[in-house]
Amino acid sequence: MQTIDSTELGALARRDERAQRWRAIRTDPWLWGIFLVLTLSVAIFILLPIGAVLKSAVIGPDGFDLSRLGDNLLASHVWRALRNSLLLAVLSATAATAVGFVMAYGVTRTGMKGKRFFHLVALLPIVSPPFVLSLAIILLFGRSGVISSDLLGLSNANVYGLRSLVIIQTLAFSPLAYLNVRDMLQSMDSSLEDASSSMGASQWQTFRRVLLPLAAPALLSSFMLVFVKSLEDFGNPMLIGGDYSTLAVEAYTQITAVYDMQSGAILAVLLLLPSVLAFMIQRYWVGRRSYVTVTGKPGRTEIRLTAAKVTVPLTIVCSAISGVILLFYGTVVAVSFMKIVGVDSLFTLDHYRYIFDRGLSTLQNSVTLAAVATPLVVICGLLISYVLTRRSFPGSAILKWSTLLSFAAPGTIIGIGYILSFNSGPLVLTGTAAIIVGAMVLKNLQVAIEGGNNQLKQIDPAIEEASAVMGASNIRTFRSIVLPLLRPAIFTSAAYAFTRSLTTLSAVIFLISANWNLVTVTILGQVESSRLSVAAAYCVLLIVIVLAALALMQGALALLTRRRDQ
Amino acid sequence: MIPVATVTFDGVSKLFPSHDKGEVVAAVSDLNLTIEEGKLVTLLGPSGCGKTTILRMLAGFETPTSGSIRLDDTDVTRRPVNSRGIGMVFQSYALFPHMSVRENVAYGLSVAGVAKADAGRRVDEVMELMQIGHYAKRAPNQLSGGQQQRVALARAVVTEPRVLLFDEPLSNLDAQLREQMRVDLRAIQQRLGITSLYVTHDQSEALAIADEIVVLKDGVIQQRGSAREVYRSPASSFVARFLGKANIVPGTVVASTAAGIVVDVDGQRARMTSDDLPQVAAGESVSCVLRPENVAFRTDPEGALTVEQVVFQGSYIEYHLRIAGAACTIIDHEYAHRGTLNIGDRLSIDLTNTPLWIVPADA
Repeated sequence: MQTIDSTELGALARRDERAQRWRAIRTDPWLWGIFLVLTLSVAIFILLPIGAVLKSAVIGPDGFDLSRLGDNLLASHVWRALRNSLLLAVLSATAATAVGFVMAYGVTRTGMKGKRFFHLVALLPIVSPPFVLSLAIILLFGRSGVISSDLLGLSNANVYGLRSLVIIQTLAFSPLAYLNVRDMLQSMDSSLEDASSSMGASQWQTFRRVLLPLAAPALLSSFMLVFVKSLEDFGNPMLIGGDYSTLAVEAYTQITAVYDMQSGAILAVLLLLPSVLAFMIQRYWVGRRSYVTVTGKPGRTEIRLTAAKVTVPLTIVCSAISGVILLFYGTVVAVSFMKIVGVDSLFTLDHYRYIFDRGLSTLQNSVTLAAVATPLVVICGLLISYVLTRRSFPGSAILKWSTLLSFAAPGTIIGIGYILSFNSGPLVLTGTAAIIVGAMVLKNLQVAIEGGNNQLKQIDPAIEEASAVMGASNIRTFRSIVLPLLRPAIFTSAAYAFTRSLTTLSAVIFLISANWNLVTVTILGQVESSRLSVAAAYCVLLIVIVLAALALMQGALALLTRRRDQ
Repeated sequence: MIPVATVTFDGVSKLFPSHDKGEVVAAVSDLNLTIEEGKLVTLLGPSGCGKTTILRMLAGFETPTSGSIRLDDTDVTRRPVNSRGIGMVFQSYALFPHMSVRENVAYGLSVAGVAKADAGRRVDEVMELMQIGHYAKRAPNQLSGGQQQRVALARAVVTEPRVLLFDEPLSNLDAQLREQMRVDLRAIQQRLGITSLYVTHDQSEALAIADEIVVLKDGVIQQRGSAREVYRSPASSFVARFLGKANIVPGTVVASTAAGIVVDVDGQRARMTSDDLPQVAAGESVSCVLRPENVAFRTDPEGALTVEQVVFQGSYIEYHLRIAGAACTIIDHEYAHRGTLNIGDRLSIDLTNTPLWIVPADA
């Protein structure tokens, strides 16, 4: 190719490129319209609320008021909450990454027995609301806990505080690390290990000098993801934080108990900054240092480590971790069927009866709203992914960055932002189902987008070009070619969105109303009023619904695939 | 016969802004090219020469920065891809993975709204022609590379396009299958008589398949002509080297007449004859192309040349040596009778009857 150094030609070429973009609009008016609607929605439901929180942090009841900001920033409870949140996030992220790595390593690269079992247990926390584990730890180690009081005879066990939070978050968020590291280790070609041992390295040297450095980006990325999740977590610190106050809980308290919107907003902004920073590091700094490109096809991985000195300790560690996870979930299930925990362990359905008598309205609400949010997440997510990867419309950058922001922003700031933005003004949504659905869609959008991106990356653009050359319109190509090929992404993002929407708490806690209350909030209330068995029964119902929904989606996918094959 | 079109590129350029500000990459510069009805033209050149960009502009995936593209008398420069009536065979085949072979072939007709019965008949015909009828129900990933290639071609021609585009269609096949497929491709193209543009970087493919070869470099046509013309009378040392093996050796013009030019190469007299001789004067230094298969040689302990490297190729042997200081290759198809030389052996060449071609000296 000829490189011409001339500003005039440069201008010509750039004008040409711009013209091509506008032509893309002309040839695709429908897609362009959809793009505009998406961008506008994203601006209204992401940028506006977050902007409102930022504004509210510096503007008090008496107008622009930096002194309040200063007072707030200097206030000891704010500093304590910030320090607590960061410390908790670092500890949980470290521990969860370690747990995820050990499980992933054992499952992918060694000859350890029982891999399938460990894999399933490692994923278990995904399908449950995160605070189920908090409930379990209270049931096990609380004042009248099964272990603390029944087995150990402690009368004054204190389960609340940092230690419990770290344990709970480690277990709750380890699946993130597990999946992340597992993907990486699975795609690592085992010939690298062979090459290392052919040069005389011992298995330990190979592990330390080849595998670990290669896994480092995945480990760091897991750390950052769990860090963000831990900062965002509301349910667990609320339930078992005790005196250990975190930003998310403190912001909620300021707004709902003290009615101090400005303090709440400032706390939310303090929460936003480290989250966005960690997310950016994860995405751009760590991402670029990744040596292994995930191609979608697992690399040639053969198991090289079968020696007992490796597999036995790994099996013990993995069994211990799995044991704890199963113990926690088992406790919740068992307690939901026990008369009075610690006093009368007889089997009973009383707690379920109580729930059914009291009415299932909040559970119904949750399922309904999650069921509404799920298709929205999938449709919007895949459309955004398609527009961003396959078309370069002017203004795509706004769409891309806003959706990334929505993922990085903790639920608390979204919740507060929604109150601020949709209480008055042109769009009043407070108290409606729409505002809750909006929050559910936004919090899960990015995952659907990423799912779509990954799937589209595996679809050769020539396949779409082939359709176009044969005379198909873009709509026809999307319907007949792209959509069927995106099917796996549709189902994974639907499963994720439904699960997350059903079990979410941090954003929607600000948005519920008398008409639209959610089951997660009900569970929280039951725990706070010490009806632990009822809370446990609710949790079991919720997990059963999630599993049933996942099975249903899996079944639908299998059915569609089979019909295809016939 | 399918109604096919004559393709005309008229002063077509395509500029891409590069990442550095103010810099522009000209993928194609002022291209003028006509592909006559029913002919197969190959665009041949190294990667980055602009051949794919030209093909994609004709398909409609790229729009020229300036100039126009016509199918017969219709300007299609800015017409959307899906209304050009073009067939295309992709390098990756781009078969729809979620459709069966038959559904793949039928897709274009379904898009065009052709009635079911009519479409079914046409699909059957084309699948018969391509010999893919017996795996109509299979998924593309259950086919071998060659079979996928046939499906891709069937899919491209079933809609009876006015122009057929090939984007390096054989580059994913192994060598043997590639040679078989290019014979088949050419036979089908000639039988259907579709105007075709064929992009490749493989010179032997271009030589074997094309009515006309267009050699490209840096977005500019270097030479165009029939395979024989381009091979025998290269317009530059680049073209000579890109098509087959070529020795470029320095020489001095001894005599230049209408009957031919006599050149002194390494103390030997060789002659260039052509209807279109370059303007050179006696005493002038020139670059000469000697094709390895045309250099006569004999083993000669007293010879001036020394074998530096021997490469066994099966049907022939290559000897690497230096002629007038330039690294050269000569080849011997008769080694079975004549015996082989070893590194360090001496030989002498005879250029009396060697066709010689003068090319402009490299800039």
